This record gives sequence, structure tokens and C-alpha cells, in this order.
Amino acid sequence: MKGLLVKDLKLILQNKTMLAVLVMIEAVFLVMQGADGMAFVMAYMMMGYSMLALSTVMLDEHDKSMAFLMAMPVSRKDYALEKYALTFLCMLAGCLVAFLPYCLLQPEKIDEILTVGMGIAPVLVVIQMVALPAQIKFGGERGRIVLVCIFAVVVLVMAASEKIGKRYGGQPWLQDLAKGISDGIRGMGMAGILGISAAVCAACFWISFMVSKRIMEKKEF
Amino acid sequence: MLLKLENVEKTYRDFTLRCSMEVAEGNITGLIGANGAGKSTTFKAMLGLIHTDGGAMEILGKKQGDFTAKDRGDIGVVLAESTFCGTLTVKDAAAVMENMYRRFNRKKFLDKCGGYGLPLDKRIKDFSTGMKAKFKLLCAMGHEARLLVLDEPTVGLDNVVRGEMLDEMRRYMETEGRAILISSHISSDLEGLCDDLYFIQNGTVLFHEDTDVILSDYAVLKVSRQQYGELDKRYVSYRKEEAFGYKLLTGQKQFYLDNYPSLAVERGNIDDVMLMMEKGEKMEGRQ
Repeated sequence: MKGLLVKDLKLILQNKTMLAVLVMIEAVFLVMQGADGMAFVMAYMMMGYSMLALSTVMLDEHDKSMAFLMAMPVSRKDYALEKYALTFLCMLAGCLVAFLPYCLLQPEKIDEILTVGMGIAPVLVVIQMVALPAQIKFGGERGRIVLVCIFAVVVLVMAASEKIGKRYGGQPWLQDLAKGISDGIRGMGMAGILGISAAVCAACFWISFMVSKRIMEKKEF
Repeated sequence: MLLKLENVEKTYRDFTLRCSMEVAEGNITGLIGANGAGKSTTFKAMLGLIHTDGGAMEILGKKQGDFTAKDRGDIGVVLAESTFCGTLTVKDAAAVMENMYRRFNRKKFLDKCGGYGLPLDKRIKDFSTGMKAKFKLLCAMGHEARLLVLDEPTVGLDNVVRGEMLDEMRRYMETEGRAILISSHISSDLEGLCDDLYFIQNGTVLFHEDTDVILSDYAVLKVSRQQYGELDKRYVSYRKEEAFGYKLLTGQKQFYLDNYPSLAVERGNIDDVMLMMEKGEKMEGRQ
């Protein structure tokens, strides 16, 4: 697996333009919006960096190098697992690149920065855990289409939630439900929220990995 | 035996592979056949790149089910259409292989690549066809594998470099306990390199013979229709009709030289054998 990781890191580091663009976008937002743009920048950087991991699956498929890789001493399970390890590494890198400037420039807001980060990370993990098996399954161009569809579904769900909220927001039962959830979350405290987030992420990872492993085991090269 | 395939089957919609073959330790075994005959499918089956539908395989002394991904470290592979991702360089590939194979020697590999004129920092996708072929072969031989599985390794190489690469393979075989399975369209490569040959057609192995025997005992007889009628056909295995009469493939050249001195007898070679088996008509019951 180490060999695959070395290969993918080398592939990612070759994509210097993309890495530079991501950092420049962060710099622009930092200058223009300061702490106000924090949530967006963090989501953007973590998403952008984790997309780099997905792009390595596309490159493997695009250059027909999958057959050669699978003739090397790595199992199909290793291949799938390495992509997850790479995705988490990339998300961590994105997280650090996003966090550091804010932490350095606004150390007094470090609690707020961490809270925003912890709110965003689980959502992105869930998105990546859906995107990765889709990319391994479909690869290349079809994989990109599937990714666009996944993001479209996420946007639609968010838009629908907003509409439902506006339409039924006045209903007493909905207000009671929202208040109940809100109180429940507050009652759990930060440790509880973190624990639940971690458990959800771990469950998503496990399901996603098992699906990817199965896809790889069925594949022919 | 480093490799043994027994009735390995793979069925696609319009093609079925049904293959049995062996590669003995110390041997270079050739696999020949036309495009689409099943050579690459056979290679993929033995490397576990496709799922087989039946049969049994033994690789490096282990049954298929016991052969792990780790064991593949003892196999060096050239695939006709696949290698490292094209955006990587030779140096990148060396770094990957160093972390994949226990016996990979990075310095030796890079020296060898440099010696064959491969630019170490250029992207593989920008290599010429010949450079890619050299790179693929050097990768396969770079980690002291016991078995080399080489699918069309000399495609795109000019005569001089092809000769050098064939010499590399011969040197590789100087270490005991190794074997090579190779496919190529260039029959002269195989004639000079292989100890034995398998001929595959429509997914089935039609013929297996030692290369020396093909070169010494096989011949193509060119006969008129009248000569054909008078000929003892016991040792004719394939017949192909021509304008002048028939071309006949035999594995008993000496018999016809001794008994029919006036016949046109052409020394057999791999191309003739392949051509006769592909285009000719099998003489039922003949050897």
C-alpha cells in the first residue's frame, strides 16, 4: 500500500497549478472577508484537497494503468484502502491549510474557527464517502458525471430543506421538533457532538470502504 | 514448474478462452497467435486481472487460491497496453517500485534506464513508443522476479535496441530458478529466444513444441496437384490450397527429403507454422 500512496502523492504534487489556485482563492477570501468567510474557505479547501485524491482514481483509469497496478504486489482491497487513506490525508492537509492562516491572523477566534471546522468536516467526509466508491466504480468521464450528480443531489436536498422550513416553519409541531433537536444537541455538549460526528463518519467510512472493496473485487482489467 | 494452467476458461460474449500450458523453470516459453487469439486474455487470467470461469492454475508452485498479492512480487510484468500513469517520470516510477518490491534496486534500475537513453525526469507519456517499450521491460526486470510475463515487450523497438533487450532477457535467465513467458508478433525474436512455443487460436492452444524441433523437423512442402495425389500424407498436418497446387505443413521434414527428393521443401519457421495453422485446413487423423 505504501507504494500506491507514494505514486498518488507524486501524482498530486504534479498538479501544482491546482494546489496554487486553491491557496490563492483562500488568500483572496482571507483578504476580502476576514473571519466572515471562514466557513466557506474551510469547506472549499477541504473539499478541494480531497478532490485531488479522487482525481488520482481518474488518472489510474485514464492511462489504463490499473491493469499494471493490479499486477503489482498489491491486493484490490489495498487499492481501495489506499484511496481512503489518501482522501483523509488530503482532507487533513486541506484542513491545515485552511486553519493555519485564520489561527495565525485571528488567534482570539480559535474556538470559533475550531467549531466551524468541526461542523464542516463530517459533512465533507460523508460526501467523500459517497463520491469515492462512485469514482472507483465508474472512473474517468462517467465518474465525473456521477460526482456532479452527487453534488446536485446535495444542493437539491439543502434547497428542499430550506423550502420546507419556510413553508412549515410556522407550524407549532415543527417548532417543537426543531427546539427538541436543538436542546438535545446542546445537552450533549461539545464532547457528545464530537463523539456522534466521529461515529457517523466512522460508520460512513466503513460502509463506503466495504462497497469500494466489493467494486474492486468484481472489476476486471 | 513455475506456471501451470489446466483448462483455464474465460467466456466473453463472442470469445471463449480454454487454455492449458506450462512454463518450466529455466525455460523461455513463447506464446504466439494472431490478434484476438487469446494471448492477452491468457496473460490477464494468470495475473488475476480477470476472473476465470473454470480450470486450475499453479503459479510459482502455489495453487491459484493460495497465491496472494504479496506473491506477485516474484513476477515481473509487461502488459501490451498498460504501464505506470503517463504523468509520472522514471524517477517517480523507481520511488514507487522501491516501496512495492523487496528486491528492487533503485540505483541499478536508474543506471540501467539511463544507460538505455531513457530521460529520468521526463514524463512517461512523452516517451516515444520505443522508449516506452524499453521502460516497461526494465521495470519488469528491475526487481529480480522469478517469473517474467511479457506481453509484446518488443513492440516499437528498432532492430538494434530489440537485440539489446533480447540480450537483457538472456542475461536475466543466467540466474537459476527463473523463467519467462513471452508473446510477440516478431517471430524471429521468438525463434532466437524461446525454448518452446505454444500456438493459440480462437482461445484454444493448438500446438506446443520445442523451438529446436520446429526449426529442425518442420517444413512446408510445395506440391502440384499431381504430386499431392501421389504423396504419402501420413505426416502432413495442415493443407492449404494454392494456385500451383498445395502447401503442406509437416513435422517430419526428413521423411519427405529422403523419399521425395524432387519436392520443394522449405525449412520450417514459426511464421510458416502459424500461417499454415491459421489459414490451412487440418488433415484429420494426421500427426
